Amino acid sequence: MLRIRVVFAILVANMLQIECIFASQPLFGLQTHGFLTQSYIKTDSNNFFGESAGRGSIDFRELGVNASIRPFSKLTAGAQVLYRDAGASEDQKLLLDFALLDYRLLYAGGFSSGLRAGRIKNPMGLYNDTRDVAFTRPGIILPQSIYFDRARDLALSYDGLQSYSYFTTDSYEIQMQLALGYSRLSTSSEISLFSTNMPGELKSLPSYLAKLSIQLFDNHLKLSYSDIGMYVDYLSTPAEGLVQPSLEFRPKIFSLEFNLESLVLTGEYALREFTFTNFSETPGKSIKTGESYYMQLAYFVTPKIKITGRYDVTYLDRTDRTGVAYAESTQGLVPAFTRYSKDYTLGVQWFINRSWLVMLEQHKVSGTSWLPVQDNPDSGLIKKDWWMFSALVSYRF
Amino acid sequence: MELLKIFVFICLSLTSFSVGAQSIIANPNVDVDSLSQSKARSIFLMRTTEWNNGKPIIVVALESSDPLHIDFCKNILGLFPYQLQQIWDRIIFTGTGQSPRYAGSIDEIKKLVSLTPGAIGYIDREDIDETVRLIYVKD
Repeated sequence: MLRIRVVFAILVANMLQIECIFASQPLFGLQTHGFLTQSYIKTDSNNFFGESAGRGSIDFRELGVNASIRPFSKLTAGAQVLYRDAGASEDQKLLLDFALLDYRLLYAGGFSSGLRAGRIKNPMGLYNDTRDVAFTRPGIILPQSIYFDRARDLALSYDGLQSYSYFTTDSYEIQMQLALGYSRLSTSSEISLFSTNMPGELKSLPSYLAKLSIQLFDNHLKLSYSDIGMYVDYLSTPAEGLVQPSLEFRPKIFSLEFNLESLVLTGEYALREFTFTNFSETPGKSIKTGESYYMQLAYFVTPKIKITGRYDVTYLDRTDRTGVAYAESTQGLVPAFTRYSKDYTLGVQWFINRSWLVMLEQHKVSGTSWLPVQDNPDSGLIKKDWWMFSALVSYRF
Repeated sequence: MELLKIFVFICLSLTSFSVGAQSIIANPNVDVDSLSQSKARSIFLMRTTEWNNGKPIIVVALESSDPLHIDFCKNILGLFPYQLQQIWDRIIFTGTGQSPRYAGSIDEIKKLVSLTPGAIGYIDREDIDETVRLIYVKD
């Protein structure tokens, strides 16, 4: 509680614009930034981030405070603390979101590169590394097909190293990132991976992420490819009778963004390959590949008001897109509609000024593949077709 | 002296990458006369963060809605203001760099650039005076 009070105090101090004593000549170039976001979610059935199916949920809240310094020209250090409430699916609440050192190794012509070390945000796709910052999202809820909130901590930040480089020319820019480290896992990771809390424990193994982005300035096009290899050991209990079980999660994400003055066309496509090894009495591998994609069109009615439409599709298993085969394998206990989701979203974003943002959004969903299990303990109440209305206000400094 | 300045400006605008009335300005102690467009882009996108002498580059910008900022983004950087904001926000909220300093007006950006060592900004060509250094963008 004390920590939360401290975070609130810092945010309030900034909002009241109490002058920092370093305002004119900040020590080591100290900068602080942060955000405070409160959302309201109402669904007709199926709970999302709290008890949204009743009167609506205000249990979706994101607060972050960060600080950075630049003690030498080549060295930047930054850290961010995040407090997040998201109904029953968020079990960590307050965490150290990132804490890293960034060292610029070299500049040569249009080429620059450097190294990062510490707790680093996972840069996969277009939006993952700033997913908790409402100002950087295209809507209140990120496209769940790619940015599963149910599995968010698998994709949050990792502890390790990252090398990055840019090659910038007159007409294009190439960016490459290679990350190596350990994922941060928690109880909700077990639920994301197994749909249930497992008796054993998950243990991160060295994992990697490689990302290549190309921005074509003249064609207003940005393309990127993220390739991830996440390796996890499952330390089972003797009662489970498993021998060295482990998992691999190997998503590949293709991203595209086409930018015009008032129009933004965005699309991402992911193949999500899960390999479970030695998870049954007979040792062996079980591989399942999920497939997801979304297409999004945003239009700036004015420079401060944007309307966004999106169609977002998730299949947990691309060989069983209707979920029927899975339902049969459970003797009808688990409905087929839990294996996919199709989400039509329409939203409006109002950038009031640099500090304030308001968003409204309506989702019409068929399927419950990304519905948080923790918010819906009574699976008998889950419906196939549902809608979700959401409103958000966010402040940043 | 005034005539000479006008003459120099005319020559520079004839020889430089003429894209409208915005010019890049820097702190007077920055020892740079010209930048290629890709270098200018690299600096404002926070890819290049040091001058050749190793001193930090401090980017100063106007508000997103300022017409001069909009023209500067489109003409010099080849980006729309919301794209540049996206790039800066990503850097600020991942701890991989620092935010530019913001100025609320032409006078303020000129003052911030002239007083901050290593600073770089942009301004209307006609507002340049001896407190800041003109950097022209070449092909």
